[in-house]
Amino acid sequence: MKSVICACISIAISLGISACLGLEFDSYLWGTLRFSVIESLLTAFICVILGFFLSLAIFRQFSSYAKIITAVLTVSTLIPSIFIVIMIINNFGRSGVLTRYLHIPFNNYVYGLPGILYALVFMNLIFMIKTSLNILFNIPDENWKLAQQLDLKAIHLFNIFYKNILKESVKRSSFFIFLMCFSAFTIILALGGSPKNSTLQVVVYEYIYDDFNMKKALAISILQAGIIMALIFLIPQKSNMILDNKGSNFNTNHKYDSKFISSKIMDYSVFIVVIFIFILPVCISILRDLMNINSWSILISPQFISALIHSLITSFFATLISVILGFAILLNIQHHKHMDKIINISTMLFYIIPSFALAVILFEILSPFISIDTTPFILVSLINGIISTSVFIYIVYPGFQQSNNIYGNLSRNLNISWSVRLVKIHMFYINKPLRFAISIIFCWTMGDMNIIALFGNGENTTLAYLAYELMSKYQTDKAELVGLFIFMLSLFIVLIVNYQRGQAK
Amino acid sequence: MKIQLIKHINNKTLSALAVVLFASTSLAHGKKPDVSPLVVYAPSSYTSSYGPSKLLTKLFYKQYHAKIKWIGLDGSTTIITRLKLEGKKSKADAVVEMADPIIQTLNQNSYLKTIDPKTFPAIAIHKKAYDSKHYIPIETGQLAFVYNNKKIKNPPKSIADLANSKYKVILEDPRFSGTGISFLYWVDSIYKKKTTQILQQLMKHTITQKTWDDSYNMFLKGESDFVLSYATSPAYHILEEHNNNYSATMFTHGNLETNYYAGILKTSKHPQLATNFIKMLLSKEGQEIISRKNYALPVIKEKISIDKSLLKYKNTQLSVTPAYIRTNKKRLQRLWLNLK
Repeated sequence: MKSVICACISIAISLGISACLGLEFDSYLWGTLRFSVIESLLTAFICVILGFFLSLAIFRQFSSYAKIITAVLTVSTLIPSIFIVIMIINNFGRSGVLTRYLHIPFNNYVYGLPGILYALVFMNLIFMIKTSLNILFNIPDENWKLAQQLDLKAIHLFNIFYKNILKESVKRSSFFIFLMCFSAFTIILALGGSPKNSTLQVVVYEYIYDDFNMKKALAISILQAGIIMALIFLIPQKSNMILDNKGSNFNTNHKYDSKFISSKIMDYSVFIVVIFIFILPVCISILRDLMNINSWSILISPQFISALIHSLITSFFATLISVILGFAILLNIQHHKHMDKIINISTMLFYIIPSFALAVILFEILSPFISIDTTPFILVSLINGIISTSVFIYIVYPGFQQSNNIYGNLSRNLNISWSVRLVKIHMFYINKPLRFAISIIFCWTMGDMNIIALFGNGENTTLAYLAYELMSKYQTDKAELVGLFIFMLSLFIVLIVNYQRGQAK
Repeated sequence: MKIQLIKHINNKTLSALAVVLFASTSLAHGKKPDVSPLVVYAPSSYTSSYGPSKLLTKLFYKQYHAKIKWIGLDGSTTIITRLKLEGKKSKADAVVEMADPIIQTLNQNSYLKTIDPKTFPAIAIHKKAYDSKHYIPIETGQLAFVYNNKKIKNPPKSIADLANSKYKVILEDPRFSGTGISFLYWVDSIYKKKTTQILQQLMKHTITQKTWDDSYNMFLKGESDFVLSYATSPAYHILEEHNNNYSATMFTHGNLETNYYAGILKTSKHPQLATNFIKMLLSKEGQEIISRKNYALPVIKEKISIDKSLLKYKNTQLSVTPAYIRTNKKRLQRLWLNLK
C-alpha cells in the first residue's frame, strides 16, 4: 500500500512539474506515452521468456562457451543502434536477403511494432541471459549432487531450481530492460515507420532538435523519470544487478540434467529458434559486408585511419576521466547512508535522459570554463567521460562496498591513506568489475554519435561518425563495413580487458 | 608513444615547412595574408572529403588570400543548436547551407548580421522567396520524388495520384528534417483544405525516416518505390555511377522550390572577410563548385556551365513565402502528428 501511494505521488509530482513547465497533454503526447509503455512491456516480456530459456540451454548444453557467448552479446549492446537497423533491413527489408530467398513477406512487418520489438529484443536479450547465467552458474555443486542422489526428474528440477531462478532473474533484469526500451530512440525512429509509433524519448529529441526548447525537453524527461520512479516503488528491486558485474565461477562440472531427453529437446529447440531468428541474420550481414570487396578500400583510407586514431584517443581519455571521477566520488561518499539509492537514480538518469540532452546541459554548466571551438576532442572526451561516470560507479560500487564492509573500519583505525586503500584493499574486490566497466565505457564512447555530432569540428571525426558521413554520401556498404569494424574492435577490447588467466573460456 | 612523438616531430617539421612556403608565396605575390582564418559552420556534407569545402577553400585563398576553418556539424539543425549553445561567445563568422524551414524559424535578428544584397552578385531567385536582409541564397533546387525508371514506367502525375496509388513511399520525418517539413508546405500550398485527406491517404503506404540521408539510403536498399528527395538527385547517379535508372517526378502542379542560404553571424570578428566569403560562394567559380559537388542548381543571374543532368528534371516552380513558412510550421507539424 505504501509503495502504491509513493508511486502515485511520484507520477502526480512529475505531471505537475511537467504541466508547470508548459507541457501540453494532447492526444499525440498520450499516444507516445501509451506506445512507450506497450513496446517496453512487450520487449521486457519477450526478453525474459526467451532469455531465460536460452540461458538454460547455454548452461546445460554449451556451458564451456558461456563466457564467449556473453561477451559477443554484450558488444551488440555497445555498437550504434543504426547498424542493428541496417542489419534488419538487409535481411528482412523489401529487398532483404531472407525476404527474397525465403519468399516470405517479412517487409510487411519490419516497420511498426513488430520491427521495433525484434530490434529491441535483439539488443536487450543479453541482460536477461547474463543475469540468469550468473545465478545458474552460482548454484552450489552440492545441490546438483543432491538432485542426482534423489534422482530428480526434469519437472522436479524446474519446480525446485529453475522456477526460482526465473523469478530471481525477472526481478533483477526485467525492470532494466523496460528502462532501456522506454528510452529507445534511434530504433523507434528508423523502424517506427510513422509518428504513431513514437516514444517519449522521441518527443524529447523533437523539442531539442526542432525548437531548442530545453524547458519542454526537461518537462518530458521529468515525466519519464516520474514513471520510472513509480515503477521502482511498485516493483520490488533487487540489488545492483543491472549490468551484472559480479561475474561467476562458471562452474561447468555438473551435467546432471543436460542429458535428459526432455532437456535436450527443449534446449536445442530454443537454439534453433534463436539461430534462425537472430544469429543467421547477423551472420548473413557479416558475410555480406566481408564479401563486398569494393568496400574494403575504406579500411585503408586516410579518413579511416585518422578516425580510428581519434576514436581510440577520445575513448581512452573519456574512460580515464570517468575512472578518475568515479573513484573520486566513491572514495568521498562511500559512507553515505543512501548510497545505493543515489547510484541507482543517477544510473537511471543516465539511461533515460538522451546523451544529446545531457551533453547540452553539461556544456551549459561547463561553458564558463571551457570553449567549444578550441579543442573539440577534449570537449567530446570530457562530456563522454562525465556522462559515463555514473555507469562506472554503478558497476564498481558493489565490490567497493563489499571491501569497505570488511576492511573499512580497520583501514580507518590504521589511518591508511586513500591511495594505499584503493590499491592494496579495494582492488582485490573490484578488479573484475573495474575491467568490465573500463571495457564497456571505452566501447560505448567509441560508438557515440550524438556528442561528436554536436561538439565535433568535422576534421577530427571518429569511426562512428565516419560511418554516418559515409551513409549520407550514398556509401552504405562502406558504412556497414566501418560498423562491422567497430563491432569487432569492441569485441576484441571486451575480451582482452576482461581476460584473466585460467578463464580463457 | 614513439609513434606519437614521431608524428609530433613530423607535424612540427611540416608546419615549419608550410609556414616557410606560405610566407614565400605571399611575398612573391606581394600581398600580406590575413593570419586568422574565417570560421564557417557547415553541414558535414560540405566538409567531408566528398563535399565542396576543399575546393571552396582553395578558391577563397585564390580570390582573397585568406584561409577558411570549416567546422562540420551533422546538419543545419545541429548548427542552430550549436549557435544557441555558444550564444555571444561563438567564434564562428558565417554559416552556410541553411534550409528554408530552418532559417525562417530562426530569430535572425539575434544571430545574423544585416547584409546589403547589392554587395553581392545579382541573384536569379525571386525576391519573394527569401525576403530578408540577414541571409542570401547560395544554391537552389526543387523537391521531387525519386524512383527507379526501370521498375516504374508511368509515374504518378501529382501528389494526389501518388497518395491514391499503392506505391511504397519513404518520407523524411517533418519533426527532424527540413525536407520533411518542406513536403508539408508543398502539399498544403496545393491542396489547402484537402491537405489532411491527402496526407492520410499517403501515410497508408508510407514509412518515415529521421533524415534525408536515412530515407535515401533506405530507398537505395529497395525499401520503397518512391522517396522524397530533390529533382537533381538523379544527377548524382548519372555523374558518379553512370546509372540512368533513377528519375525524378515532374508533377503537373509543379515542384516546390527549396533554397539554401548563407549568413554572417553577429559575433563575427571578420565581417569584411565573411562578406568576401559569400561573394566567393556567389562568384561564377564558387557556384560551379557548389553545383558540381552538392548536385544543386546555381542561384546567380550570370550564366555558368553546369552539367545538363542537373537540369533534366527541372519542372514548373512553386514557392512559398518566408512568412508562410514561419506561421504554418507548427500547424502543419501538429496536423501530421495527429493523422489517423
